[in-house]
Amino acid sequence: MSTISQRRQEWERQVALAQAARPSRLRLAWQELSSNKLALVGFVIVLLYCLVALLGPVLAPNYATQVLNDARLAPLTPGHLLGTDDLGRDMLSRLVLGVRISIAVGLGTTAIALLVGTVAGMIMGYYRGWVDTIVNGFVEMVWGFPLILIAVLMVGALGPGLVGVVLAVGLINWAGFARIIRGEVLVLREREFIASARALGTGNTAIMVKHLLPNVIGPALVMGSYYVAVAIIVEAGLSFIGMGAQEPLPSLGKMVADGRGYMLVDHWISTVPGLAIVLLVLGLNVLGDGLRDIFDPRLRER
Amino acid sequence: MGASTIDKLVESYVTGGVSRRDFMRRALALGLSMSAIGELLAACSNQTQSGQSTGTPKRGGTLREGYDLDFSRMDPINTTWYDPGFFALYDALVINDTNGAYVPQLAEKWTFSADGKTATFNIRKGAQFHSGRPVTAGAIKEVFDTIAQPNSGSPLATLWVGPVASTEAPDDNTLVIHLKHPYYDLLNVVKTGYWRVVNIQTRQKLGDQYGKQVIDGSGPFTFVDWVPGDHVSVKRWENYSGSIVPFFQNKGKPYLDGIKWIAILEASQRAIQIENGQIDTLRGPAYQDVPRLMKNSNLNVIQLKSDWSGYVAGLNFTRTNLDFHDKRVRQAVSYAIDRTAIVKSLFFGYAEPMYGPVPTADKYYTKQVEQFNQFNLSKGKQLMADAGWKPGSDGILTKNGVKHQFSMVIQAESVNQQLSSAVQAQLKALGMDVKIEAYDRGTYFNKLFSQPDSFLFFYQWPVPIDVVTLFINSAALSPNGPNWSMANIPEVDQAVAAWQTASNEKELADGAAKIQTVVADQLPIIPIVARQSFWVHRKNVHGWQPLKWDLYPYYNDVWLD
Amino acid sequence: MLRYLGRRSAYMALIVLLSSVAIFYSLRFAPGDPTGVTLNPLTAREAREAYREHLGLNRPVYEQYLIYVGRLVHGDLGTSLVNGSSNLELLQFYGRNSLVLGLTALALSYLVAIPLGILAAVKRNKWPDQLAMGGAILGMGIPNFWLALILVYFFSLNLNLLPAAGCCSPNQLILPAIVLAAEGTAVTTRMVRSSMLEQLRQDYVRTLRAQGLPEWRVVGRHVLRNALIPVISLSGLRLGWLIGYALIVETIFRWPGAGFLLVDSVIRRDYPVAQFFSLVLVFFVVMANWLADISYGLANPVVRRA
Repeated sequence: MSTISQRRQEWERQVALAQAARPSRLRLAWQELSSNKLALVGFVIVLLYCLVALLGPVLAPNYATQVLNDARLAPLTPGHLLGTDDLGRDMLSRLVLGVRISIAVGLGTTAIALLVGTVAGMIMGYYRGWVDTIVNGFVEMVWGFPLILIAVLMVGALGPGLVGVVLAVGLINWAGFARIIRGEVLVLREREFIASARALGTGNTAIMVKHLLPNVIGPALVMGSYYVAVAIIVEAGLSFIGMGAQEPLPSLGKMVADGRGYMLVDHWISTVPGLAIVLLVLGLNVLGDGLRDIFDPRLRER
Repeated sequence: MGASTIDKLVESYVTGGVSRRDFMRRALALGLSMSAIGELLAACSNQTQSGQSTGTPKRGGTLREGYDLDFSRMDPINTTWYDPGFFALYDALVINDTNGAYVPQLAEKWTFSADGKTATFNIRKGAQFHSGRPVTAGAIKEVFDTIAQPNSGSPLATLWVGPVASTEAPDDNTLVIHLKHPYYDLLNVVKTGYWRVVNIQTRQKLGDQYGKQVIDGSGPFTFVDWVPGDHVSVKRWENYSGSIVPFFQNKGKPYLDGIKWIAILEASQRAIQIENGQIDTLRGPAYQDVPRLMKNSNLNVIQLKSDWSGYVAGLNFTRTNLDFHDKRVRQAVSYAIDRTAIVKSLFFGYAEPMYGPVPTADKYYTKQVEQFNQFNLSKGKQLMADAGWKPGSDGILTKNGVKHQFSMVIQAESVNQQLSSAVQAQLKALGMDVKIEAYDRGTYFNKLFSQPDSFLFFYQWPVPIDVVTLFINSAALSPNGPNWSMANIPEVDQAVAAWQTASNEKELADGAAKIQTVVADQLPIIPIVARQSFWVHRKNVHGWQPLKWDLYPYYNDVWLD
Repeated sequence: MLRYLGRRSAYMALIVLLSSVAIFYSLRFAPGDPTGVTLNPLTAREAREAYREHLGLNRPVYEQYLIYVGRLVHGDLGTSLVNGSSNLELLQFYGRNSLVLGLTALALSYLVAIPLGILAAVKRNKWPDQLAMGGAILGMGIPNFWLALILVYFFSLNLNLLPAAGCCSPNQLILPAIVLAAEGTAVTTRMVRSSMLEQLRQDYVRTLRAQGLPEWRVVGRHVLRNALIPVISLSGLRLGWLIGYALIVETIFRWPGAGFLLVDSVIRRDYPVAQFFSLVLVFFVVMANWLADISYGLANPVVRRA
C-alpha cells in the first residue's frame, strides 16, 4: 500500500528530474528548424504575413472608401502603390486587409478542425473497439458530405459572411485531422511508456492529455500548416459562388475571383492577390515540411 | 412627300421590314423616278447593316449562339424565364416588327370592339403543331384558359386574370377575348414569351415532364435536347408550313439545319468564345471586352440602347424605425446615388441612369421623370435632417438613439455585387450604414419574400411597365406578390389602374407616363441604372437581327456562309 | 474473410444510410425550396403553394423521407425537377464527364510526376532534384482557379491555341485537365521521390549492386517496382479526391461534371438530383477510404489488428 505509492512518487520525482535536465522540446524544435534553411524561409514568410495581418489597419487604412473615382483600373501610381481595382479602390489597402482576412479564415477553420479532430482522433485511437467504430462512422460521413450543402445551410442560418464560411469549412475539415491523429495514437498506445503509465493506475483521460497529446501535437501541427493553405483556397472557391466574404470586405481569394473578368483589360487586379496567395501557401507548405522533419525524423529525406 | 417618309422607307428596307419589290412599289407611289430608285437601291445594298443578307441564302449549318443566362424549362406556361428557344419552337398571336408595330404571326388581323371590352383575332389557316394537330382558335383558347387557372404557374398570370373575363373560339379561325374592362395592353401581353402557343393536349398528357424533353409548338424548329447549365438544341422542322409574318424575308422553312444555344455564365468567357470561333453569335459580352470586340474585323457588334432591363432597389416601408415609410427618406437615398458615376465606372458608359422606372428606349418613356432623382448629395442630407436624422460621432445618421443601419439583400452575381458595393459607399457618404447580404439564387428569392430591410433587383421584360406595376401595386404585397417594398401608396395604385384600363394606344401611353412620374416622385422602388444591350455575330452569319422590341432574334431568315 | 467483408459492407451501408438522412434534412432546412428556382419568382402565390403541395413539401420531413426511401427501394432513383432527366441519365452524362476529366488529370500527373520523381531521387541534391522539388513546391502553392485564369489568358486569349471552355472534344479537355493535374502532380512527384529514396536505402539494393548488376537495371527493374507500389495503391484515393475537387475547374471551363452538377443542384434546390449526387459522393468517399485503409493496413501490421 504505502510501498506502492511511495515507489510511484519516487519514480515520478526521478522522471521530473530527468526531464528538467534535458533541453526543452521547444529549444530542440527551434534548433531543428533553424538548421533546415528552406523551412526557415517558410517560417519567415508566414511570420511576415501574420505581421501584416496584425498591423493591417495601420499600414493601409483606406480599403473601401473612394469608390468610383476616376482612378479606376489604374496602374502603379504614387497615390496607389499597387494600382486600383475595378471600382477605384486602392489595391494596396485591399491587399493588406485581404491578407488579414485570409489568415483569419485559415487560422479559424484550422483551429476548429484541429480541436475537434484531435479530440476525436485520440478517442478513436485510444479506446478502439466500439467507440472507434462509431466515431469513425461519423468521420467517414463528414468526410464525404458535400461542402456546398453545409455552406448553404450556414449561410441560411447565419447569413452570408465569413463566420458561416469558417464554420462550414472547419466542420468538414476535422475529419482529415481525426484520421491522422487516430493513426498516430494507434501506434503510440503500443509503446512502453503508455503501458507503464496504465500499470501505475493513471486514469485514461490523464494518459491522453499528459502523454499522448504532446506526442500527437507534432503531426497535428504539420497537418495544420497544410490545412491553413487548403482553407484559404476553399474559401476562395466559395467566393466564386458568392458565399465568401461580403462586400466591401476582401479576402485574397475573393479578390482574384472578382478580377477574373478583367484579365485582358487589367490583369493586375487578379495577379496581385493571386501572387499573395501563392507566396503564403508556399510558405505554409514549406513550413509544414520543416515541422514534419522535426517531429517525425523517420520521414526525413536527408 | 417629305424626306422623312423616304428615310423611313429606306430604313424599313435595309432592316428587312419591306422586301425589294415592296420598296420599289412604295417608292414609285411616293413619286420617285426609276433612276432615283435604282440609285437608292444600290446605296442600300452597299450599306452593311449588320446581319443584312448580302448574297443568296444557303441552306445548312447549325447556328451556335452564346447567351449570358442559364436556360429553363421550354414550357411557356410553367417556366422560370423564357429563352431564345421559345422564338424557334413556338409562335405567338402577334409580335412586334422592327419599328415596334404589332404584326401577325398566328393571328392575321385583330379588332377591338367600340367599348374596348372585346378583342377578336382572326387566326391564320395552315398552322400546325409539331405533332401534326392544326393550330385552331380552339387550341389557342386552351392555352389561355390554362394560363388563367389559379395554379397554372404562369409567372405573369395576374396580367391576364385581372382583365380577362373569358376566351371563346366560335369557329376554328376566330378567337374572341372578353374583357372586364378596356385593356389595350392585351396586345403587349400576348406578344410575350409566356403567351406563346403550346399544344395543351400534349402538355396535359406529359404533365410535369412536358417542356423538359418533349416540345409541341408550331415554330419552325423542333426540339432536340436540353442539358441544364450547358445548352439547348433544336433542328429544322421539315413539315413547317411557313410563316405569315410580314417582315420575314423567308416565309418558308428556315435555312438553318439547327440551332444550339450555349449558356456562358462566366462573363469573362463570353468574348473569348466568339473571338475564337467557338460560337457564331453572342449576347451580352462583358462590358470591358466590348471595345476589343468592336475592333475585331471578323465580328460585327450591334449595340442596342436597351435590353428591357433595369436595376432597381427597394426600401421596406414597414421599417418605420428607419423612416422608410417617409417619402423624404426614400428621396434622400435616391439623391445620394450618383447614377452617372455608376454608369461610367461599372458599365464603362454602356448604360444609362434611370430616373424613372423604365429605360429611355421604352416607347412609353416620358422625359418628365428626368426632373426627379438627379444626384444631389447635399439635398439628400438636408432631407434626412428634415426627417429628424442627425449624424452621430461616427458619421452614421441617428435619431432617438437609433442608428440608420440596415441590410440589403442581393443576388450573388458579379454585377449585382459591384453595383451594391457602389451604392453602399454612396449611402455611406449620406450617413447610412448598409450591410450587403449576397445569396445564391435559391436563397435570394426566399429572402425577398421574408421582409428584408431593402433589396436590389434586376428586372427584364419587353414591356417594362407591365412588370413594374407588380412591384409597386398594393394588390401585390409580399408574400402574395412581388411588392417586396410593401409599398401602399394610393396615387401609385390609381396610376396602375389607369394603365390597366386603357382602351387604346394613347391612353396606354398616358397611363404609362403617369406611372413613371408617380414612381419617380414617390419611390416605391428606387430606379438606378438600365444597361445597354450588345449583340455580336461573326461575319459569316446573315439575316440575324436582334430585335429592338423583344428579347431575342427570329431565326427564319438566318443563314450561314 | 467473408465475415470481415460482411461486417465491413454492413458498416458502410449504415454510413450511407445515415448520410442520406443528414442530406435529406439539410436540404429541407436550408432556406428556400424548388419553387424559388424552378418557378419564376413573380409567379402568383397560389401557383407556388400548389406546386409545393404537388411536390409533397408540406408534409412533415420524416414522412417525405420515408416516401423517398420507398421510391428508392422500388428502383426509382428520382428525376430532376429542373429538366426531367432521370438521375441515372444524369449520372451517365455528368459522371462520365467527371471520370474522363479525372482520369486524364490522373494520367497526366503520373506521366509527369513519375519520371520527374525518379530523376529527382537518382540525382539527389543535384540541380535536377532541386529544380523538380522547386517546381513541385510551386505546383502545390498555386491556387487552381488562378492557374486556370493564367492558362486561359495565355493559351486562349493571346495564342488562340486552345478553346477556353466547353465540352466534350479532346481540345476542350486539355486546359481543365492540366489545371486539375497541377497540384496532384506536385504531390505525387514528392511522393515518388521519397519512396524511391527509401527503397534506395534498403539492403537489397546494396546486395544487387554487389552482385554486379548495372545501375539502370537495379533502379529500373527492382527499385522502381517497389517504390511505385505505395504510390499506385493510393491512386484510387487520388482519383476520388480529384473528382471531388474538380468543381472549380468544371465551373471555370464549363465542363459538365458531377461536381458542378452537385453544387448547381444544391443552389437550385433540385432536391432529387442534389440528394442523389450527394449520396453518390458519400458512397465514393467511403469506398475510397476503405481502399486506403486496406493499403495502409497492409503496410503497417501494427495497425491491422485495430
